[in-house]
Amino acid sequence: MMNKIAAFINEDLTRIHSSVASQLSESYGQCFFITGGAGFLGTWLCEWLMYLNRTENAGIKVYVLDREKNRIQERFENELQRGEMVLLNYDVRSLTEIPREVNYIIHAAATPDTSFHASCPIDTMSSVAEGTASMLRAASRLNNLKAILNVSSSAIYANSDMTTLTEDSTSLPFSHSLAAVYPESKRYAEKLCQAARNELRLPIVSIRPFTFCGPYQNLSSPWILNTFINDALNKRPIRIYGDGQTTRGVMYGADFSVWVLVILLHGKSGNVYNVGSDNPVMAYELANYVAKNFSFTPSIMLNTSLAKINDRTYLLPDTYQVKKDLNLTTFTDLELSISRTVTWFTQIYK
Amino acid sequence: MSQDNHILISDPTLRDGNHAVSHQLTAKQIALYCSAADRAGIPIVEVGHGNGLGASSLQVGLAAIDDFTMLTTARDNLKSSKLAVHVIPGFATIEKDIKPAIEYGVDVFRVAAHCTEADVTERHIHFCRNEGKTVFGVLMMTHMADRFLLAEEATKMQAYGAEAVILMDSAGNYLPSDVVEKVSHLVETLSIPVGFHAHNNLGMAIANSIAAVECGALILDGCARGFGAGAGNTQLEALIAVLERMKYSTGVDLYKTLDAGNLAERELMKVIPTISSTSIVSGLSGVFSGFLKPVNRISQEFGVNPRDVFFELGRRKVVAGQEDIIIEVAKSLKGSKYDE
Amino acid sequence: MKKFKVAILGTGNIGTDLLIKVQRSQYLECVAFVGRNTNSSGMAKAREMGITCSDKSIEFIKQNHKNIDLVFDATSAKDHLLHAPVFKDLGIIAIDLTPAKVGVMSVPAANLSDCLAADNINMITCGGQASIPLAYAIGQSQKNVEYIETVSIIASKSAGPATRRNLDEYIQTTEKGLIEFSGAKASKAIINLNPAIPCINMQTTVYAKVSNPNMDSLNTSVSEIVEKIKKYVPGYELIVPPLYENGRISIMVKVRGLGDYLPEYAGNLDIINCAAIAMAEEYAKNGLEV
Repeated sequence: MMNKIAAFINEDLTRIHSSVASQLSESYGQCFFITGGAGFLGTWLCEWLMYLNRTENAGIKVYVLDREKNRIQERFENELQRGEMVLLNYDVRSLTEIPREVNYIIHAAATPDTSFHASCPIDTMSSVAEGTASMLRAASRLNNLKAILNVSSSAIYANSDMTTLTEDSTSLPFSHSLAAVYPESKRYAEKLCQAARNELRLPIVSIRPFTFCGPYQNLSSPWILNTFINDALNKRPIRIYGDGQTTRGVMYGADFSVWVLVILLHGKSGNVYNVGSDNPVMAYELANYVAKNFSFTPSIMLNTSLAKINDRTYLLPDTYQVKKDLNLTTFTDLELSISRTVTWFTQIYK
Repeated sequence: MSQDNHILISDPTLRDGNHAVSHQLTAKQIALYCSAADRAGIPIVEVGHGNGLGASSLQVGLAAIDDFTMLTTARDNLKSSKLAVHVIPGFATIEKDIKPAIEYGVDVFRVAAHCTEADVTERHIHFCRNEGKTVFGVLMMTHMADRFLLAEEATKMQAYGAEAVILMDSAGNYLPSDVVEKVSHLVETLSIPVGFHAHNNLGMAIANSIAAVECGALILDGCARGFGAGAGNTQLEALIAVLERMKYSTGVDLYKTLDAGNLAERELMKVIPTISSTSIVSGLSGVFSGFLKPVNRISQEFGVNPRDVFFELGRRKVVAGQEDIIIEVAKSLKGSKYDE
Repeated sequence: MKKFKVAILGTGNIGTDLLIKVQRSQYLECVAFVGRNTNSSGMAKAREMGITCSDKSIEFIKQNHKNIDLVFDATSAKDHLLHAPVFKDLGIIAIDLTPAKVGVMSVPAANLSDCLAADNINMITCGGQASIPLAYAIGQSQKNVEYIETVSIIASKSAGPATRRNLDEYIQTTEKGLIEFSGAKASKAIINLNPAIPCINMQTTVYAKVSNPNMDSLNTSVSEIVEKIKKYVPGYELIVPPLYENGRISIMVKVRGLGDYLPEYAGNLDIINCAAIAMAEEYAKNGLEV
């Protein structure tokens, strides 16, 4: 099964690599430290960096810090054995030393699972807040640190009515809602990074990721595209909770992770970038794309809560800034993103 | 939020009503009422032990028939109505109760918790959603929490994947002003529909239900003849009639609902729920009306006044599932009498 | 007498409360307090007490196994499944406080000495530690126990996120233990979180259906076992002695915690820790090493 996974991911990376090759060469011979390195973004980053070692003989070394270890251990067994990768299995809050050889840090440790935020708000906030503080303190003692990329969240923006969000859009107002624990802590972490950039003279960019799909996502996490695929995988009608007009832009994991690498390697310290797809797609259209990728064409049900509501949300980034500053573009269009994702879940990662 | 003044009706006659007959509803009774409700076009019919799936026990009463018999009988007699169950984590588990219920053809899972304890529903809501079932979160005994705390707990259920949240006035303690305060705050806070489930201890069930829809609730629970624990619930036939007169649409046939009410009275009930003096005490004291029967029985055994037992239970803030405290209270009341 | 060297894996509330109990024991000494987050309040407490701490989790145990006789595993069921084979290979006795159900179920009042032959001991659940001794007394004194049921009510404040998420495992494990120790044909466990303020103490009721119950014999058995439990759980109290009403036996107990690291109302956490300590001390007294 591992070979199948490796081959599948390799197809994506090969397809994209030539378009970004020149922007990735800065990474050769460098040492990376990724917190949350076994998550969706973290695993994709490892894939890219190990791909560069494989195909370009890039001589990159990666430290992965994560509480979970199984996926990394299985997927990168050889790389771990050869010492191209090192797995550190503890909580980011407990991070006191970062290996001296590290040049680049990607701070991606946090759980985006809304169920977890609801049940464990304290842990949610403390792992973001204390985890970021621990990382920054440890980073300040490194010899050859070139850049830190802090993964923030698009959840810090206030609800937008049918407008795309720029990096300067209004952020969430202070509210009594406990549902804001995650964005509040992410906003705090961004500010902490800003403080560390100034006080500790650390080179830091932050990104605000939007909506993604692809291998290494957890199908049971309650985000619409995943539930659609999950329904279809189980040979059920695809259930859309509302009227299907909720709007998102969806970016494929391979694009997301290579954008993150380019931003890390070339982004200007102090900048904040939206990362995601600015191509709007409605839930109903997404369901149709998913259905098309299944041979039995599942039916699509609207308003599954039985009581009719038309509560729609609209979450779409304006990515002008990141595209302009870093010369980035979409490598995997929506249709291909979804067909790759469905193939992954139906044929590769069962 | 409502597009066309539509109210979704959910009918727990065969679940809440089971409290009124000590969970002794038979397969035949379930079959008869399900057919009648199905004919009336009632969208959701809830069936089970009074405390829901997997709750048949010495603690809250053994049911006459098991969950399998109840649910498969109901399933066989519901053509267009959806079949629903009440699920309380702590009683019911995913492995032993929810998985089989899905096999038996349950469509709607109403996963319930005491109003301050919504986080116990995470895995159950999640599981049912991932199985492609419709899932509502239910907060019980909601008179015990203020609107802010209710909104926080309801928001958890929404995050877990609930497609609606139902507030239950399990003790029959609300007045319409309480409903307006709490329901409108939830409607404002949540992105999913809000429902209301009224009890009639203080004679306010219909008035409270109407207050709820007037401030944005989209789901109402009602039982034939108000069949339910203690003073009973919102009377479904009257609810449909009032909603019809107020120009809300429910998709439910009034005449056939009246017929279902007659059938329920004839076939299901030993006595029609009435607001007894004890029920008023339970409503005022804020104690779950499902405690009525055990309180009366145990009070008699210990020779103490059930009203005293209720006010003491209210003082101790007991919640559903704590029926065993009744014995302790009765015992201590009896003891204190001897002391005098 | 040489003290038994124990390590505590998992630095949450359970692990930290265990630490305080271990340090009080005349048979045990804690040689390591091990988790994954050096900044947790449990670790801070342990450092304050001068205990060796590590955030290297199971790796620390592997590296230092020669100096460890016994490990209390207070992590999670998922983690214990990974840890159990490691302990076995290293020849360390494991006392498991998660609902992983790997080892032999232990209720000290009922089967303390029987457990000594095993190298992995499961402490069942908090409700199990309160109810199973009573179920055992019913099983010992009555013929034909048809059905046993237990209801535990715990203070909402004493139930952390893991407890709340794992109610199903709690129920399954407790039900299994009830049958194993009482010989009943069927069992049921119910758990209820009570938000009342001030916090209630843990209350556990055991019901049984027994044809022709012998109440005298039951009363004797129950008083004997309650005395045994009180030796290792001082806050265990019989509040409704065996009562036969409405065709069922009911017995009710209350558990007040010792208030070591956790508040007194958290009797549910205290009882499972007290039982685990009693088990570990029994190993120590017998000077056993696997």
